[in-house]
Amino acid sequence: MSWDKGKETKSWKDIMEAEKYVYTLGEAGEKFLEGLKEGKIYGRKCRKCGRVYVPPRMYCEDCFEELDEYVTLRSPYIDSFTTIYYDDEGNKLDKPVSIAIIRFEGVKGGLLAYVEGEANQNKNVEIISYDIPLKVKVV
Amino acid sequence: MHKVAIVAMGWYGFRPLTPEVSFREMVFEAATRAYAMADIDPRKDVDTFISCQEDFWEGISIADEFAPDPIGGSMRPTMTVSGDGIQGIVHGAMQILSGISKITVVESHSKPSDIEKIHKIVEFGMDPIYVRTVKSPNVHFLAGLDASKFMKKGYTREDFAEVVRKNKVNGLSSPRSSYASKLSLEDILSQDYVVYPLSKLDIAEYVDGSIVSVLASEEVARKLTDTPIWIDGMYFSSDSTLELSYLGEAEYLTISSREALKMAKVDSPTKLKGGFIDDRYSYKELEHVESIGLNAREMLREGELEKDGDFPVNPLGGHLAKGIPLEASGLSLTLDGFEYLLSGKESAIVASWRGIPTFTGGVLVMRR
Repeated sequence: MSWDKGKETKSWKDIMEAEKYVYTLGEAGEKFLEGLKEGKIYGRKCRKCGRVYVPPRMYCEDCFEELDEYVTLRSPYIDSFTTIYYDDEGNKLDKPVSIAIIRFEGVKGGLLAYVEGEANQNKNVEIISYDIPLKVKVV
Repeated sequence: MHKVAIVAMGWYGFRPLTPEVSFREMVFEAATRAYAMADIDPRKDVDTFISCQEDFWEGISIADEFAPDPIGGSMRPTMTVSGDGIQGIVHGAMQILSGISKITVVESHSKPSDIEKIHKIVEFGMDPIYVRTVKSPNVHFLAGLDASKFMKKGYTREDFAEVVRKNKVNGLSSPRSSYASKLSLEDILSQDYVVYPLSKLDIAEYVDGSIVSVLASEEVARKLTDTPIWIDGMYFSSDSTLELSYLGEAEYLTISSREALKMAKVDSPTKLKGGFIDDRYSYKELEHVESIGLNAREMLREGELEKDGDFPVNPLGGHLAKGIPLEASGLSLTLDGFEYLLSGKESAIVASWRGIPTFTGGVLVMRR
């Protein structure tokens, strides 16, 4: 903590330690990360309504039932995308970056991904890096 | 059914910097003005107090401990809502309509000038595993994703620029509009994209401000003022998380407006005389106008959303002119609507959103 000793004292400065957390993945989150290691995207299916969720989760938000089997998702495509030219501080990026939300046919939910190539809606993509976030390439 | 009214509102600030006051002093200033307008003593006349705030905006955990005293609520029934001011208004109205209270005060405030890196606080609101980990260079990328999807409905960058022009010039008639200006479409369209398809001018700035509103039961409202502003309909709702919500739509306002209009017995928003609708991004005004059930594209292009149009939207400037006062955003739009109705207009709809990364919004239908 500090304060500026002077005629223009108007504020008190402090830095709070709030950046170190451990976030528990949970059962479904662990399975999702295992899938990434295997080069797979896992979704999870609700036995009652048949919806498949990605990221996989423990419960169906519509039925409020515990979800059941894990399924491997295929055919990723870009639902929407944006390209970032300036950072949060107003500095122009040396190279703009594109981020998209990737969805899978018939699946509820999606995953964020950095995009290589010219992003556009409904374009199919290939996952080139199974990580969080994903990296995808427009095909 | 009993009715509830807003009988007074007070405000302070609405400037990018307010170094002369702490956030508590700023709230006290707004409260003093609201109580003077209502001609009430908060220590005797107010039954319940509500403060809408969020710890991380304050930089203080359990910030609700600081809520009561600047609004006159020390040692009195005070509750906090960690959400937008409209959610606070709905809670206050429920307290009055259920008979718990006859006069309820709803407060919210913002002091983003105290936050050195506000984008980090916005980032903190994101899912830590699936969204925050993207480490996007700019937090507005979430709005970029939504805006990009929304454009597929046939909206253009020129439409967004038209909203910026309209709201920034409308703001010139409000004393709260620090970011009002007269800009041409060319000025706006010449700006670089910050995040596609939005330029700096499409994104509202933050602002320091505090607002205190006084709600009263029908019987008390009629005693306190000749011009109570009735809340005929109200609702708030949340969609799901980013991954599960539909981009390019504002389901939270579709649900909220449908229920609020039903409660107010209004079959179409066009029966109302104007809208005070969240425009923290230019495209969001249009998305939100669509969500309350109107053809935003056609109305914008035909000038119906202008101040002198058939259905003025943000005739006092909205957030693009006033800035975003964090959780006081809904109250800022409500205050614009309140002043609009006091100036003689008959009715209005207020539609608020909590901003990225949320999918929560609320609606009020207000009548003079």
